[in-house]
Amino acid sequence: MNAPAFSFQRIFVLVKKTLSLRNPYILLAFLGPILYAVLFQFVLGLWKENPVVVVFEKEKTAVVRELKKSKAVELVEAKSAGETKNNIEDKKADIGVVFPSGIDENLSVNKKFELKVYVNGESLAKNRAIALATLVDAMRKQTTIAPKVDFKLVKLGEERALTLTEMFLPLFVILVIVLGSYLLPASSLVVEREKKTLTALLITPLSLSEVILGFAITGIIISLLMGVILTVLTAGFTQPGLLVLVFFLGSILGAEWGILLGLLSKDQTSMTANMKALNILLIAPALFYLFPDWPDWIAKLFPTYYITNPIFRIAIYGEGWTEVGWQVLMLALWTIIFALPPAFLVRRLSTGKIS
Amino acid sequence: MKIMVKKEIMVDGISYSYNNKLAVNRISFEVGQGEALGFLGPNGAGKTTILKMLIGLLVPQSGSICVLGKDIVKQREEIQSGIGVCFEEKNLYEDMSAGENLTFFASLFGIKNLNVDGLLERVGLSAKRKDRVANFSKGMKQRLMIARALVNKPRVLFLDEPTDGLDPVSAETIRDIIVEEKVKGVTVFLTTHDMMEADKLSDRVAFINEGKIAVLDTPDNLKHQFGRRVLKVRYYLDGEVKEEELFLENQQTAARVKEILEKYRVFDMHTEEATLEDIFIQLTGRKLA
Repeated sequence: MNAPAFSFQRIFVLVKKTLSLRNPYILLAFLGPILYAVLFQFVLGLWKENPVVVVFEKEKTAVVRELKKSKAVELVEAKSAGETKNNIEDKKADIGVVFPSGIDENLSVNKKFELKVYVNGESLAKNRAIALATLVDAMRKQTTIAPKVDFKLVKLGEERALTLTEMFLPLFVILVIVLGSYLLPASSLVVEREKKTLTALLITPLSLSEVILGFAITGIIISLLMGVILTVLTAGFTQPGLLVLVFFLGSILGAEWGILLGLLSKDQTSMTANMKALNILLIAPALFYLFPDWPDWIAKLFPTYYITNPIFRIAIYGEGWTEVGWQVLMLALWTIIFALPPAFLVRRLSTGKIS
Repeated sequence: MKIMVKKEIMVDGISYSYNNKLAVNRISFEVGQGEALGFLGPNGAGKTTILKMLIGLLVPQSGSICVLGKDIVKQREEIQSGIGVCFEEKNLYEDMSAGENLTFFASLFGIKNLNVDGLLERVGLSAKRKDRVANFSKGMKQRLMIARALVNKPRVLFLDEPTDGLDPVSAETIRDIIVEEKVKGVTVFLTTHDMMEADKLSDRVAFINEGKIAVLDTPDNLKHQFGRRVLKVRYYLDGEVKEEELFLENQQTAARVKEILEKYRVFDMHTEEATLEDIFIQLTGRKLA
């Protein structure tokens, strides 16, 4: 029976085995980020309740009655337009709406009208999205067809004043990458070599490239999955396509470093020592969110900046491709650059001494 | 009529150095289908380096290797699907059960319906299918290593010190399997420093010393060529047992035996052949172990 030189089936078999929950590194990659995030939020009491919507109605409207029934938002009724704005500025609510007179009538005849929505600059993109969607839904219930509303968003408060949760999001993102796509391929490679099982794998039709690809794919899968879960837990999941793309590219970059670390470390002790030296390069950009006075250009020198910053901008501020596109392209460039050293090492090892 | 035996292993002038120290020096040999070749040599003689080159874990720095008619450097994956390897070091997945180890390796060969029970039965581990390998004794692990080497029904078996340091039962089980596989037509390449084992299992043996083959032949030919065949006689003389060694090739031996039998009461008498170890020492000046 002849075996093909490259086989995804063989790689899949290895991925399946590596994903076993008996592997302590898998447990760490799965549970580590979630535990950190949950503990962090629990300790700081930052669990977000439903988004808060503050409203002022110049005359009673069916839309507010509908909003009161909604379980998706918490409604606060202000006594004046000024109080509505104050609530937003004081960060007591995520969005504020001043309903002018004649809203119900406009909706019933499907007449186009303008509605001012005050937005707290520090509120999460997720909360804003939920609050606005609930508002539109409440209006839709007053009319048979889509309401013709021209929303005018007015941002109040400093956008850069972040909550602790938001400031720590980049660190959690790095944690996901480190524990998943970086540590897992490195440890798998080192442990297999240390226990000599790598030699056993290499006398099957499995090649060194396939083994390494298998470990990298395992790390990428876990990192991607945990990244998505963590972002949902801490900041919501707006623009899923773009977020997944950034996490995917970030996980590839992490896996490339992990493979490099695994190939260059003789055993778990030397891997830990090498990691200590490398970790600062990974974590450094995340520190700039905790210390906003530090110059931003230094953070941009680190490749992980192009993972944390787009995720941060998308998840917290709801930015899109136009704003973070160049950073995503830079990340893609880094993944190409860092693919070269492991590829070179694997090629050299495959044609010489393997174990 | 000359019978052409298919060559499953063909090695031509291979060499390998570690940090400019020559470990294997221009070695050439061939192994025919169904033949067992024993590689005998002390630790550090270059046996394992040769084995690693034969199974594709090391690339020879010069020369060429063909296994199953294919070049090991260019067609490694194709060759590896037709060979089985049992290492001296126990490299099983210890957190997995015996059955899981076999199934996992079978799946890497693309084998879906492996007869796990049958294979474990052969190595005397059928009751241990679900037990974690971490709890196995050294002998049980080695038997499982042999079973793993057989998952893909290999045409060539490479065995590196397969019975080294094992209990007699495990060692005998492994030897029986090697003989069974040979009978089926499987080619066996065996490295060992146990000359009794090599003598028992190998059709031919090669003595490796300092990276070179000192001699390669059948055990019988080697004994005939290099050994001294002796008749040992012990007989009673003045109330004590006296021992005498008589060379069988010596012309006076027959007369002396006749004389002893007529004059004395014989305690015992037997021929004694040179062992492979004696011959190895004679040829290389080194001991095997």
